[in-house]
Amino acid sequence: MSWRKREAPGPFSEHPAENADQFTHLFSQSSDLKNRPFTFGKTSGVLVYIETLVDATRVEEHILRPLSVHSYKEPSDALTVLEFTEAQNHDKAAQALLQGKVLVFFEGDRTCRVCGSEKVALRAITEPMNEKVVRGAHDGFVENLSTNIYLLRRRVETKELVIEYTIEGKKSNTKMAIAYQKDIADPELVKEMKRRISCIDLDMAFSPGYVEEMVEDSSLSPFPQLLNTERPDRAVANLLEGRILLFGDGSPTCLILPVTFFSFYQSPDDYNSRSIAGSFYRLLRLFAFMIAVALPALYIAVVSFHLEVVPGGLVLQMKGSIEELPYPPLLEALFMELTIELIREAGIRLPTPIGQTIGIVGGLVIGDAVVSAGLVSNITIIVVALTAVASFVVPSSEMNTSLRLLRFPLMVATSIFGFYGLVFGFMILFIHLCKLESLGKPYFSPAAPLRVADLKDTLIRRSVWRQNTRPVDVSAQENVKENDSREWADK
Amino acid sequence: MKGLLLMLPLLLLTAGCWDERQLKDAHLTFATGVDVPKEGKVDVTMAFPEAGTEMTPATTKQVLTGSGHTFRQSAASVDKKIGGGLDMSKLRVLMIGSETAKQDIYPLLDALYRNPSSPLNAKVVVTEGEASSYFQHEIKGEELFSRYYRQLIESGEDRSIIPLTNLQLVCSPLFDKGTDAMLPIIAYEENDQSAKIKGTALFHDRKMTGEISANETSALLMMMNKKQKELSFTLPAGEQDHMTVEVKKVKTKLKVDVAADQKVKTDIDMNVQISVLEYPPDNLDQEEKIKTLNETTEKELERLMGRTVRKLQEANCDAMGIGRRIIAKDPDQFEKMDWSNAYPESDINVKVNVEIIGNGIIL
Repeated sequence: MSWRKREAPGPFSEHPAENADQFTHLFSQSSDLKNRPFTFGKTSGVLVYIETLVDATRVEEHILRPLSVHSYKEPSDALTVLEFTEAQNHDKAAQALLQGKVLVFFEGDRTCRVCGSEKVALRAITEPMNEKVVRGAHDGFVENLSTNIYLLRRRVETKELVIEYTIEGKKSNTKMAIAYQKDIADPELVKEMKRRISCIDLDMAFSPGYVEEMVEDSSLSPFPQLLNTERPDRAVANLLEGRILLFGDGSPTCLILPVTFFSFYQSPDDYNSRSIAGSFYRLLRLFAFMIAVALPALYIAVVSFHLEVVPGGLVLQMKGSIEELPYPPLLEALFMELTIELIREAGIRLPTPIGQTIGIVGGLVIGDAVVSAGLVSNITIIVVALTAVASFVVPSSEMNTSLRLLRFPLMVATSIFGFYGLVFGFMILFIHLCKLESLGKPYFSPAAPLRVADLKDTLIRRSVWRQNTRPVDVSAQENVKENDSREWADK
Repeated sequence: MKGLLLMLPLLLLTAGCWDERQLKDAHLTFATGVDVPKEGKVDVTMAFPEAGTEMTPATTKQVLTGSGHTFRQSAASVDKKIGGGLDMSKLRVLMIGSETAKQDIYPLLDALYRNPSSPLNAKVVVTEGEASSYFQHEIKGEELFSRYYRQLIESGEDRSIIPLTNLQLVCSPLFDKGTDAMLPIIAYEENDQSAKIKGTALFHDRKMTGEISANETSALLMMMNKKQKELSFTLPAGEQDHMTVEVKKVKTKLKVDVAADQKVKTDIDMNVQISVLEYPPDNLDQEEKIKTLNETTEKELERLMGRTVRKLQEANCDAMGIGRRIIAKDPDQFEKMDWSNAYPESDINVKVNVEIIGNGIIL
């Protein structure tokens, strides 16, 4: 689609050898571009292919062997490949070559036949490392686009599921796919999505991360406006709510949009456990959000401005533990927060055994030594540890990163203004959240604009049979998704 | 735009209006005593605790006294003696000497009511003798004065032997014409090296005018429907025996009648359900026995209540807020009558109806 025009050397030649030379020239004498002459009956011909991209066995079994059998009259009779087309010009042919296809030329024939024979190197379908669930499906998307679509189609067996391919990246020519449910998704949304994608003009689009930045509404916001997932069940659940999925070849990540803030707090586990437990964990995660963002700031405010709010029984202990500290609470908390960030960043990409060592050295040694050296108070260690744990509760790693960044400005604000700083910080945060949009849809829905009915699957997780309608933020065409499944219980 | 960006942090950071109060720099006082040795002089004694560690408990680090003309001035003179800023926002106990309490106590509290970070839940206590002496005595086994006195008061409140008060709760009766304040009163016991709840100080017009014992306070709290967690009495039952009972439930009806001649008559009608905690003669399974015990208990309680009411009237302390009821019903009439004179003359009748509903786990 966005194949850049290169000077094409006119139409295909009648002579196979000339054609082969033209491609050698077109690919700048690339070493892995190969020719293989053959004879079919009385006519001679040549196969052109890129050695590293084709499956040698398939070429031998389904192209070369049938061609050597002389009883066929037409080459189309002989070739036993599933994909058998013709390329109109050199551009199309070159693109086919790059996709791992084999070109077949015959003497005295100007047509360029294209046979599918791609090599497919697949990783096994395994559970994503960073989105594990206790119960539920344990498969995950892989780096191959067709496999991902396969996983999707297997879960939603309906003709309304539309997959649309596009090629992005002028150099990388990455195949991408938009998937949506035609009878549910708002056509305006799909149109808007396609419009945004059509504007993309960049060299490489290896992963959806590149595309994400191109299509998101507000790129300076700390909040992710597209949901990343490697879980087919999560993708399908969102698809059937009327959201749009975006896949890219070469990446196991599926992008979902539009999403709301609360989408990041939903986990497939919620639906696999009972609704009361699911609701409890939903609320717990939102509580964890508050802790992760505000606890260090709250601590700083209390210790440096509002000591009268500390309960009488606790104030002496707190005072005792911070009395000998040489610097203000902000520096103390920042120091510890940055230490935690360092430990996390150091451990995250290391092999597991070294990662564990880092965890022990960082967590135990630094944590203990820093207190006995009188650099940081016990209370700060507790606050920072709680904050770190709370920030990892979010089921999405993108939101997790955002949360960990958000607490720094709040800490600075409270160290200057105390509780006022916290209140103003939260006001700015919530104003931003209310204003934010994802693909033009309200990001903080259903909290703002408030829709009490939609809190059933955000703040809590009501029983599935009580969730009769889709969330309103995606403006789905078909709003009813459940209808009296427990009719048997009404007498 | 650039100028604005520069101006914002300058406005925020260089204006100098920073109200930071670091906890680590604050010198917290948990217990403070106030005495007025002579007219126009205020002595403030403050105890400063030292934080303990896991191994050693918190202790009282210093006891300092300052004097001046006002509470604030005295506190400032204490502030001059300590490192770090004096901080009263975590005050747990405020003690007022009994001689001091016999004068107007509001001027001593005024500074605390004006400060927004005041400890409104601090307990206000009247001490027998000078308040400052309570920080000189040694309390055996207690390292921290503030904790000891606070717990003493709180447990007394739970057992309904002193009224539930604090700095905030005592404020409105001080100003209300129709109600009078009460504060717990503690005394020091030389022999036991400990303090003891003595009873309740009765106030009239912001001045301490009398006191009642712990037992009488329990009776008063029953009349006010303000029984806390527990409430128990030991009453004579029969010729020689005594019976300890726990009051399970009290329902008091207080009816105030103002006659045409402005004579106030108050009827207090109580329904009391009690449980026997200790009564060696037993035989509590006999209905007749229960009946006699009900009656003797009624009589004893009525006597106790009567004594309490008399003491209240002698002290001219309208702790039950009878005046407030008259104001609520007929404010004009209240204006006309001189409540300070009318209250001690008023007629207060107590009628108690007792029912034993439990006798422990033995039959």
